[in-house]
Amino acid sequence: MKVENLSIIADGLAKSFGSVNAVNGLDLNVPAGTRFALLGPNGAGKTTTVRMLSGLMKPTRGSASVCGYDIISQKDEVKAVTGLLPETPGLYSKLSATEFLEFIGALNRLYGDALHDRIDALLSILGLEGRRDDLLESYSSGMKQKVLIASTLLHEPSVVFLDEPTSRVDPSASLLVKELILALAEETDTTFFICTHMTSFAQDICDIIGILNDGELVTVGPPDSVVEAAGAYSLEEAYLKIVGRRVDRAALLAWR
Amino acid sequence: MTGNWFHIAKAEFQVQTSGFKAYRMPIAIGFSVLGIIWALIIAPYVMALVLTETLGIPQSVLVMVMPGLMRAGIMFIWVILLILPLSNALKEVKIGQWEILLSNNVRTSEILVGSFAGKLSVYGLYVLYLAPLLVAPFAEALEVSPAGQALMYITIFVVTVGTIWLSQLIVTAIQSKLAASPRGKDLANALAIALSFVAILPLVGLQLFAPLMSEILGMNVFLIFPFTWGADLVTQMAVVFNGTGLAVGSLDATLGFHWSINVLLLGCFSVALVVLGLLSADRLFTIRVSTGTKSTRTSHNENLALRGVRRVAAGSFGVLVVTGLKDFGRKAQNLSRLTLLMLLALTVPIFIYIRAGEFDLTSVNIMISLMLGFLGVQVFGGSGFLESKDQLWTIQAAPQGVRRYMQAKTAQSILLIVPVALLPAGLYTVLLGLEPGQIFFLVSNSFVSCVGGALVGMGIAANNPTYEDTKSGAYTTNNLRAMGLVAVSFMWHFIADMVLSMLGFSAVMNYIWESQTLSILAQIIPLPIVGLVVVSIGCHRLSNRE
Ligand SMILES: Nc1ncnc2c1ncn2[C@@H]1O[C@H](COP(=O)(O)OP(=O)(O)OP(=O)(O)O)[C@@H](O)[C@H]1O
Ligand SMILES: [Mg+2]
Repeated sequence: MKVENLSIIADGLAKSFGSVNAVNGLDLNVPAGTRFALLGPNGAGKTTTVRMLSGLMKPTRGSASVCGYDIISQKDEVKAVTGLLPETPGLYSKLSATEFLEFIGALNRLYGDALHDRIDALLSILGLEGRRDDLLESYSSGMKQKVLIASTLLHEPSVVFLDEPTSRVDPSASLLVKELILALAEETDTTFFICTHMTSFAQDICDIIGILNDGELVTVGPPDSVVEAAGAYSLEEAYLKIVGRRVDRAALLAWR
Repeated sequence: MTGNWFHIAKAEFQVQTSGFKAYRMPIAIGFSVLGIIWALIIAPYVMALVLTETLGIPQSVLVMVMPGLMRAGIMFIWVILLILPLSNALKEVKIGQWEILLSNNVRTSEILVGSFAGKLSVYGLYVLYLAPLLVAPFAEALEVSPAGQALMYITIFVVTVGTIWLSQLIVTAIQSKLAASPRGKDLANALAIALSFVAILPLVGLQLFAPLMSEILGMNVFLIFPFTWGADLVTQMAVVFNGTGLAVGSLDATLGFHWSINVLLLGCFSVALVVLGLLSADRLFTIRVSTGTKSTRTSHNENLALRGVRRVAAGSFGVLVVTGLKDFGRKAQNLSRLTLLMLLALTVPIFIYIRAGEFDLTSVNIMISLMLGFLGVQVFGGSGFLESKDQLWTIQAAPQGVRRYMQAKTAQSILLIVPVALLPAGLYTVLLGLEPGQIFFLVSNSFVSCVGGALVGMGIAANNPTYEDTKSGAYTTNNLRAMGLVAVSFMWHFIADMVLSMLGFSAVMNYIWESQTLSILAQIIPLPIVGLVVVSIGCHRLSNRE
């Protein structure tokens, strides 16, 4: 593991909402150019972590820096170097895909031909060029997700946060997203921080995997060593062992 | 699947009474009991006192105005019952909800019956409180026998139930058509706004032209409207069962139809409505999520104005403004709101003229400015400010995103307000025959007030975003707050006047009131200042992190 060039450093990062401790003292180092996957059960605190690291939420305790910028005191710098794919698509229903991407580009101070060339390229990579002028209200949820992925990459951020990037897209689009991430990581040294529930997705493309449970990071490491350390055969099995959610058959049918 | 309608009715009742969740049943029962006491004892007593003791209206006059008043009253009930539920229901076209109902194998007719029954209880209460106001005075004056009074109430009850049913039928029909299309929600919202405006019209009309109105309603043209049959029937019941010796035939000339014909018409109409509703619900208005107008809209080339904005503001800020303008213009509800409030801004000074008989630049100026202030709040602030929480995340994820977004929104509103402010100013320039200096004065005041209102609306929305949810309590609070701020800003000078004279500076105020220009400025200027303050607070709050 390269240690010298870290793009994300978290030190005792914590966030509570009232009595709920969503994230509880997170320590994390993510080297530049790596693809990091954050796994964990529903409500573990993945989305909250991503929101804090991208400068959207203030941590209750602890500190973190992204690309050398402090997430508390330099949030605008952090926002400038990061891209965030939110968990659920919040689009402008009355704009077309092109217009929406123009809007997001403009928010990041991009405009003119440079912006339009990028929009064209991203839309055609994601296979949306035929529908680019249709209003987003008529898009399927997977198509919206693709538009949002494009919007995340538009300003060429050096750290990209993807919160469940493949939760709505079809298998071939999911493959496309994988390839896109791999290609970008190779060509541009972009760091990817991906929250996902798909263990296979994480295993295929990520160099480091972290498992978050009840707001605490319980495991970190390369996929193979995580699997090995848990004494499992696959990442899915390792995940289940670590998170420890065993399924009780009798309880499953007790409601009948 | 029997009894589906009952579950829908229950859910509808719970929605209608969600305001007082915990004590739903006790409060509902309490209100009903109170309503009955009110209808039978309090209302007749109070009305008798007011009419004969306080106002001293002689019985003969009362009998003369009764048919017209009754028609006006019943029309009022009819409009309220028909349009308010319609407008409310249209605000909640939710495809997801239909999907759930349909996946549980619910038929359209069950939805119709269920929502009807659920509404009946709540809107029935309204009528229980309103109807005695209408019936009691005449029942008192004509000494109508208890049987006669009962018949009067039954007639009103039939009209009420019929109206609620009709309204529910229309709601179901519209929803079944709109829910299917991707623009359904937007169109439904636009329609709802238009309808709630229609509901206010008779109120305004009653206010301004009360005598004229009952005269107009007395005309025979109105015999084609079902509410007239009901109203006339109520009048006739009162006369038939009167205890003062009034001849039964004495009102026949004014009323048009004999009472038996009215009974027949009202009865047939009600039965026909029910049959029609039940038959058509499953055939014509089958709610199917997949069908309907699945046309997708496409964005076209930009028009001259948008290209102009791009040319003037060439950078990324111009792009933000242009996309904002496109988004605004494509939402039917924005255009619907704009049209209605524009109509108000154009006509309110004329209404005032009709009432007061005076027409001068000062009053017209204040009226237009106030109306445009309200227009600013309703059209450019509030709903449509942000569509969803996720959209907010997206905007916040950009460096200084919120501030730039708010700035772009402001610029966009100012651009739209230029033509908006010119329209009423133009109309009254022609009507009042103004000179260039006065025109400039009127135009600039209109513009400043509208921008002020827009800033207030946006600022309040940014303080506590409610997104697209126009039914929530927070939305109503925001709306009231913003409208209140606009109104207070216009009346601020009263308070200043009082405070200054209390402090012994009444000379300052007198100096201001001496000059027409200064006094108008004193009324207009606070709003934009308040707007700027509110919008900066809102912007700050919105960009603050949780
Ligand atoms: N804005 C908020 N207000 C209050 N509680 C919140 C808020 N956001 C998150 N939480 C709580 O914080 C905890 C972590 O939520 P978070 O969304 O980070 O989980 P997650 O790991 O992303 O889950 P999922 O896999 O379901 O997306 C949950 O218990 C949630 O209820
Ligand atoms: Mg999440």
